[in-house]
Amino acid sequence: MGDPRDLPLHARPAAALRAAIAAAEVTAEAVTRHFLDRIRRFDGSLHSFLRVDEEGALRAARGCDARRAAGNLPRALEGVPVAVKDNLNVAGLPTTCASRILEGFVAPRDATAVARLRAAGAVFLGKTNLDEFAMGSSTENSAFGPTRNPWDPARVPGGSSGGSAAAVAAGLAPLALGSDTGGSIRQPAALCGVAGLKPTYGRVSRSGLVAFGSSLDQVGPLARTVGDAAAALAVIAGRDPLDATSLAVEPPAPEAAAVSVQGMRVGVVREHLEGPGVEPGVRAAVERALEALRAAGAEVREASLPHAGDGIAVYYLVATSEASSNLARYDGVRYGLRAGGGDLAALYEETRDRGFGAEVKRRILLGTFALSAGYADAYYQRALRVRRLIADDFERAFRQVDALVGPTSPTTAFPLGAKTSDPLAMYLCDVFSVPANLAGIPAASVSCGTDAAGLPVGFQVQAPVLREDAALRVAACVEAATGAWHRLPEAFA
Amino acid sequence: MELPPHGPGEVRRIAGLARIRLTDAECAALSVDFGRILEYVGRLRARDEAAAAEPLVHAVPSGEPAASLRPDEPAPEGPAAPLRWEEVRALVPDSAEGRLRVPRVLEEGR
Amino acid sequence: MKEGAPRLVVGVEVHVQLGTRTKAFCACPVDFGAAPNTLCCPVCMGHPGALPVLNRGALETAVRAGLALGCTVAPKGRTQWDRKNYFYPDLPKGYQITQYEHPLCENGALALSDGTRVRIRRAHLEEDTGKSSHAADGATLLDFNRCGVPLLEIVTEPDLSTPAEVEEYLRLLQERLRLAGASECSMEKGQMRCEPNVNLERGDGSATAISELKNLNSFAMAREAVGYEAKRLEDGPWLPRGRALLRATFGWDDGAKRTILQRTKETAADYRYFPEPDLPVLPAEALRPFVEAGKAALEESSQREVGEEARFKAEAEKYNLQDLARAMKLLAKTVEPEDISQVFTVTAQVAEERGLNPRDFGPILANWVQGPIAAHVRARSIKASMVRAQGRSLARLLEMTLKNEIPTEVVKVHFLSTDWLEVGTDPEMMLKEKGLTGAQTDDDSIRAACAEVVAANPDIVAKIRGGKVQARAALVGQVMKKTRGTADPARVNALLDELLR
Repeated sequence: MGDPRDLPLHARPAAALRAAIAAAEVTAEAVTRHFLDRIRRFDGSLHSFLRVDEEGALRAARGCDARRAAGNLPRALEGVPVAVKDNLNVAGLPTTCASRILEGFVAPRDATAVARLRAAGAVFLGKTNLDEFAMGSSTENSAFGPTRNPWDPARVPGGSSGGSAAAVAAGLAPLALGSDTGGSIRQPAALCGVAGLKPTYGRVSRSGLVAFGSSLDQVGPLARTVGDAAAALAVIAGRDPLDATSLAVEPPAPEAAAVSVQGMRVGVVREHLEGPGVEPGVRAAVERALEALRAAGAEVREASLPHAGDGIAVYYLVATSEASSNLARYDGVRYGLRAGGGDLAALYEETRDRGFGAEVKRRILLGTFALSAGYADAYYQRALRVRRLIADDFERAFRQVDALVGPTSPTTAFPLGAKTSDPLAMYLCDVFSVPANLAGIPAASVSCGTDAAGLPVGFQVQAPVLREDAALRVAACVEAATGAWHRLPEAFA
Repeated sequence: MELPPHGPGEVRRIAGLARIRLTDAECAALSVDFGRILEYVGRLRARDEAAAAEPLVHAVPSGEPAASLRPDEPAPEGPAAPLRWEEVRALVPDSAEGRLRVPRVLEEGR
Repeated sequence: MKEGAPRLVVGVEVHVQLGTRTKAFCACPVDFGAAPNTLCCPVCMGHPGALPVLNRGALETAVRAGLALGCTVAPKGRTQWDRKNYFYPDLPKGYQITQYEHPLCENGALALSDGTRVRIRRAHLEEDTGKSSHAADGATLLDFNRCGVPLLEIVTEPDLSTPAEVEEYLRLLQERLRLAGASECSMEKGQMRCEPNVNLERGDGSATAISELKNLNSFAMAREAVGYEAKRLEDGPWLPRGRALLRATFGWDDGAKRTILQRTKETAADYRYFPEPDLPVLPAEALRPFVEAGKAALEESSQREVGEEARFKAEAEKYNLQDLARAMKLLAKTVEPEDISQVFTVTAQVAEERGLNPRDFGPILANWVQGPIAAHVRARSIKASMVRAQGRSLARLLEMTLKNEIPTEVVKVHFLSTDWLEVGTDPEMMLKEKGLTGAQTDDDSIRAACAEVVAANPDIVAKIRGGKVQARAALVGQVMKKTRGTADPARVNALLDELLR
């Protein structure tokens, strides 16, 4: 890899942009303008952004330049433009969650992760598209239209953080925030060929993230490089008095990602890699990545996760149960859409009928069912018990290996509309990603090449609780070997 | 393996609990979806070893749960401060006399 | 077959607002005087992205309260919070954070004065809802200042069996919790809300449906409502032993003095309880410091109580009240507007200011307050605060009594058992109005009245002289009639003695 300065601004990692701004090679304002121009040029067809805040972004960028001129030291993300998934609150901007039901809701306060990025000098470009309330694996469930995959506009970018992944892949933002409940950062990162990280549950505050599955949700970065993801994690992680589930632990230093994998034991679950649903192109790219790890001195072993196959069933009971409760507050009373009005019952029903899309309704009903009297034991409670078994599987496996690897998604990006008529088929996109949310462990996805059609393949690295450093190390090694992070799709080069 | 009743009647009852209105067509379609999804997730009922496992809700418990408690102190400024009435009202669809307004509740009590 | 009289079975659920500075799950202040919707934040308003964080002070206070009620903290080894899901406009999140299977406190008890043990099944910590009121056009108006205030829900076993016991339990609960510093517990202010669950059982095991009584804003209302329902349920319907009992909710109409059916619960509501993922589970080890601190605080307050008792002893001495228990009731600080003790304390203060000796008027005033005044207040179903005679007028009456300016009969008949208590006219004016001053009370006219009665009843006089002492009462009665009840009976007897010698 040569000098990042040989690359156009939009192909450089965030760290390189920060360095250039700090060295006065370029102003923060110029960098921000560059990305705003690209958004104006390209996002009409891509539709990765739901809202662009030009005024706010330029104001913040000028602020960074003023600070530099006044002699202040550059902060961790000084002048770095960031795109924020529209289920995270950014003060003064609407939070839509890609749903009609939040029409008119403007966030009074920053989400904690957003506030920390802001305090580190980040410049917010705007809010990115997602599956409505983060429920989906393709961003086709957005009430405002899907986002397209920059590598092939007839295909999905993945979901639910499809807008964030597409924006980074297309060079419309060097860094983005997403959320991951069952793979919503990692799967779109894989399908768009960028790096994505779901931190350990509790590592990053969920305050200001619109809740979907409270015991599963985490906020995390999507970026061009693993190094950028590590740097972003260091900024947003840490105990927050506003989130009782956030942990009082220091995040790994960003440099931890650069350590060699020499001597690391890396586990592969063969049944997963060779399962029927995995596309040949995915399998081939993953095998190449395993070779790269061996070449770098890691030991690749067989691993076993006996109950991982039940992950989807557990996830679609636990996540939907929590969601059915989390989405009860959207009732037209205190904010957002209000419809109907004859009496209170009509207000609730009309508002939720007009405000929620079909997939959200489906999941709310599934969750309500799973928790309801007479069924809760057989469904919700049973799912929580199998969840324990899945977590125990990981604990056992991590006594033998330092990281567990494999494909992030069984397929590369599929065509728009290919899975929308079959909810179950769509749910199965998450088969490799949900177990990490169920167990609370950290997991990263990094591009490990493409398939024959040139579509990106994602390589997933899972690590023990609070061992993001191990996941980032392995991911960085694969990234270095495949060397694809600086490549943009032709249409966006 | 027997399935729970997922017929349209049951779907309607569940929809009522969730304050979601369904047309007959939606009800019928959901009933079909539910059938397939519930059959899929129903595989968990065959995991006998699960009966002995403790349910897992909090995936990564803190070593010191009492550390997450908040002091009994108001926070007049910052992210934990109360909202001003103007901020509340700006978001509310309907208000009167400093209070939020909704149509009358027909059923008595909760 | 006769089953014998049906037995009244009552269990009580009480919600107590804990006296913390801020709410249960957010830092909004607790302040009942504030303008509506000014003590709300994204958390208690249920905004997207907001998360609950437990108030340490609420936990401390709840533990202390539970210990004061004899409970064990987290006997199952841990306590946790759960979501109770339902839709109502005063419930912003669409669920209430409460405790279901692992409540904070369990297995306490309070003992009533007759020794009845009222077992406390559980006491758990949850959040209050907002307040709704109605606009002129029927729309509902919402104020969320109260939403999220910490509540302790205290549930007894059905160990109470009379309306009086229910009232005593509530008063005892209030006293204990106030002493523990857990809450001011004023029923009038809505800080203590009680819901008696009432039904009847017969010897053969049959039972009526259970009535859940709500909207009871005073001890008197609670007592009356339980009493009313106990009677109403006697007509059944009766379900045989073993059948699941129906529940129905009733409000209390204090004007009409009856219960009003609000709704029957054909099926139990489906609240879909599940563990609150946003709040950590608190294992027993984590609670230990709170239990230690709670025990220490209770020890300190019971020592203060001993100090209080010493204060009461001194005051009882001051007012020459021999019965300490009775004195404590009279001298206790008023919590509810119905507390009769205010009549004593307010009047005593004025009396002292007028220069009357507390040791002289103390026992008289105590008898008045706990006797005829309490009876009148109860009979009229009024609050003690409505006894306008307290203070100046009663103090004047005391003064006149001490100076023998007014016979006790007059005081009893014309003042203490009448509307005068609620009106409170100056006693001297009252006497003038009723024509009870002057001649009637002087000795000569009594003597004259006695002489007339003796002369008019030779046969009764003969009986008395013959040894039938009881016959004297008839003469006394006639003298009292003649003097329109104003003569002092002791004086009348003394004069009759003279005349009959």
